[in-house]
Amino acid sequence: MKDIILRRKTMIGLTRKEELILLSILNLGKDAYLVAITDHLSKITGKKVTITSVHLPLNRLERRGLIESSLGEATAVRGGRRKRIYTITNKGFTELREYKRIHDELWAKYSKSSALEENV
Amino acid sequence: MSSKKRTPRILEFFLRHFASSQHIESLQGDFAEIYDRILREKGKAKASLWYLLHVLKLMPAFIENKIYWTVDMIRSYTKIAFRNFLRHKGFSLINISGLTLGLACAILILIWIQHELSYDGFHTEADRIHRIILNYGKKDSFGPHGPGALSQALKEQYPEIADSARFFFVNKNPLRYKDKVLNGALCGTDPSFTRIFSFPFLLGDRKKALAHPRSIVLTETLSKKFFGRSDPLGRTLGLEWWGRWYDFTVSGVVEDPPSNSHIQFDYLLPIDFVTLSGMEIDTWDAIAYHTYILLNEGIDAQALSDKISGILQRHLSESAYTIHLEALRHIHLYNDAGGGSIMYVYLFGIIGLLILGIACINFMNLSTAQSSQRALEVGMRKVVGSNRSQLIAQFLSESVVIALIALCFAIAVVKAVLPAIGDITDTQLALEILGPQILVFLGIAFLTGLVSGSYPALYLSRVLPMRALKGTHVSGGRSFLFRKYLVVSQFVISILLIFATVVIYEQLIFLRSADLGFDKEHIVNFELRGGLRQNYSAIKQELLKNPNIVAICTTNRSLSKRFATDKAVWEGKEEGERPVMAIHSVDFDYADVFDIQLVQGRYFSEEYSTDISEGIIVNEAAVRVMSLKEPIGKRFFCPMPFNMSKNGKIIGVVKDFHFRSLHSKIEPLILAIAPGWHTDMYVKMRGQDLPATLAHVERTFRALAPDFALEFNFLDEKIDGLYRTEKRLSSLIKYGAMIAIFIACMGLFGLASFMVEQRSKEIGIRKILGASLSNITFLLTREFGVWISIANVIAWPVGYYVMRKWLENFAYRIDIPIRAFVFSGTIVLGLSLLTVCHKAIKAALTNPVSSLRYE
Repeated sequence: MKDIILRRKTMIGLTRKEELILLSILNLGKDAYLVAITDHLSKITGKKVTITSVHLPLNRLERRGLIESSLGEATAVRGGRRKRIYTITNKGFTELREYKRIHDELWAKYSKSSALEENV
Repeated sequence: MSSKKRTPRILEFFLRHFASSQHIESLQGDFAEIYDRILREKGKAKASLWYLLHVLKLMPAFIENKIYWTVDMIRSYTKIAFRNFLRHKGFSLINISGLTLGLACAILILIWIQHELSYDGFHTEADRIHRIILNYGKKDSFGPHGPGALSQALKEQYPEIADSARFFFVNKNPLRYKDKVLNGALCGTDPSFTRIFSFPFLLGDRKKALAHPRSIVLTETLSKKFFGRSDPLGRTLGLEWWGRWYDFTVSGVVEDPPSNSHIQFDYLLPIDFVTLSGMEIDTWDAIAYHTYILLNEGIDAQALSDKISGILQRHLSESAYTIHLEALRHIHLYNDAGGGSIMYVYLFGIIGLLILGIACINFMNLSTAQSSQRALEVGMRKVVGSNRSQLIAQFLSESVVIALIALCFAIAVVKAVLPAIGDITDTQLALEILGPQILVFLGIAFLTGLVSGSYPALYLSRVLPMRALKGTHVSGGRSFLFRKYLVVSQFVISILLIFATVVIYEQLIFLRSADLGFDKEHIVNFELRGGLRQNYSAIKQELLKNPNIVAICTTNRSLSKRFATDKAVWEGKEEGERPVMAIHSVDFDYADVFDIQLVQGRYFSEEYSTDISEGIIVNEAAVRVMSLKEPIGKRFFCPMPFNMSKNGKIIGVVKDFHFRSLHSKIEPLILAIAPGWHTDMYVKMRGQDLPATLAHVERTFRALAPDFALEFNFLDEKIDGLYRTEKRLSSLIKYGAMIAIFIACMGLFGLASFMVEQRSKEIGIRKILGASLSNITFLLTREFGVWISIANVIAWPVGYYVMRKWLENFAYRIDIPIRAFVFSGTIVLGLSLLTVCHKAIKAALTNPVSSLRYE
């Protein structure tokens, strides 16, 4: 039981959702807290993103040390509760960059071969 | 919209308790923000719905997380528990054996109660079957015997009754197949028996089994005894009934009635067989038959009972009897005709709970006594961040594990002692390890673990980490007094039980060795049956040829059955005098067999031809109640059953002898000769060469009465049998005493450990100041000695009173022996001092450094 769960938790690599969340955190900078990330993702993807579907990956990423969090200033809006601002750690950033490299490389290869096809 | 307004508390509550997040506060903030947004746009209902829905979405992750951590923690708890177990082997063994004992007792009692409650429940129609009981005029005087015509009349007159069956029981009646004769319990019944009751048939057609008047149905065991493995159906068996043999054909075989059936038999016959001896059956006069009825569905038994109660008056004009219904499942437990066992079910239920409760409390005592050893661990866990509920869970799970281990042992113990218990209580109790029972036992063990772990868990989880880690933790003594009382009362019970054991034991010895006024040694008792009855004089002559056989006589049954009259008339009797006198029918050799002493006159003698018809002998007690100065020669009329009344003269007076058990005083007794009434033969033998003499008896019987089932009893054993209840009681109490002492000593051990633990510093200081080993041992033991003495002082008078009351059951009894006091006192004192001394000496030998190091 324990092993099954553990293996899932220490899974290496990123899911697409995790990658998108990490990128949103980068986009939002100092304002990267849960609601903001959710809204940002909704806007960019044009689909409805729920708060829970962001919250759980966030927790997981934090546990894996890819992001870290700190408490923001107290606000009156949120029932008096402080925001938790997420920032990307070096480890998280390296991982993200690796993903970008893979993406770029793959896209680059595609554009070369597809250029031929477009011309047909 | 005021943004300061908080989200509803109830929603926040859900979020807080069903979300797993390390940042629950800010998550609440995030939720609140969106909640507010939706509230503004779409209203409160939508917002709340959204909130709830999303809390729900967090659930799977929450549950997964919970399981993960729980599994992890349980693994750690069991590891620690196991290490603790090994580190304190002695403690753990005592703990486990205490719980084992408690659980074993509880399980045994539970099995027994289950057996009692299951009585007669195996019949498919059990809820609709009722027994007819008769009220014999007086209040509370009920009996199951009714007239034979009742069954048919009820069935015909009341449409509520679907079916009815009569029973006629005979305890022991011989059957013969070829030259094999066996005794068995006979049950005569109607063919409707198989429609009402569900005793399963193994062979034969259940519907027609009892239809033929000369058919017989055997139980499996009896069939095996007669026919082994071969097919019994259609074979012819002989049945002895009042001295003659009749042929019956086997028409079926049923399973043996289970021990939880109140109807017991070895073979079934159509009830009409009783007419073979001229007994009447379909009349209203002969009151000898049990009647059972099956009601139609949905009939109110109480209403019917009221409706039928006067039926006897309609058929028997003079009858004062009324009839009532008694539900089948009530018969064993509440038996209106006397002897229901529900009292015992309650009693043993309470005893079981008490034993289990005491075992739990002892467990608590021992665990809290160990607390300072565990305090360090608790302190450490608290420092690392475990909260109180986690600690409680840890200790509870530990005690549950111990209880489960104890359960395994308890089941083994129960398996081992169950046969012995079955013997004592005369029941077949069974424990199926792989049955639904086991779930109940697991439940009990689990509860026991929770209860016994609760106090230590609460207690230990309260430990202050700072103190514990500094080593200045002191076990609290808040409930110390309570525990002290508890241990004292445990000892009171132990002393009482030992006391009772001693008294009962002495009384039994007294009963066995008491002078009964007649010789009971080497007398063999046979029942007069079949060939023995017919060829009696020839057999008697043949037997007497053996020089080791002294004398032979026949009598009616006297030892337990009661034949008495208050209608005797004698010369000089005053008006209104009606003393009850027992009647015993004897023959000429009776005095020789039993070595009866005469005080006046002479014994019956064949030289006087009138002795058979007119001779009367009475005992001294009878002379006293008749207040006769010169009894010899006085005219005496003695009414007897079967038209054998005697109108004669008193020819002799015998010395009083105990013809009944020593429970009762010697009653007035009339001896007369009425051979037609005789049922028993007694053979007096010489003590030497008994086996050879018995062999001679067997040879003679085989030659002259081949149809006789050679069964006999020694008279002294039969007399012992009169005190079976007392013997049973004595062995039950003996075991009870052993268990009680064991549990009490455990409690004491726990308490002593606890005390020593508490006073470890004091002991250390005393040692430094020069106290010797014996000083300290005495110091620690003294207090316990005082408690045990208190227990004795409480127990003795109670025991004295209770046992005096018990002894009053006997007309002949011992005084309470001093031994009972001495014995119960010393055993308990000795065992408890042994228990305490062990602890005390260990404490006295401890190096004071270890207890004072942190000061």
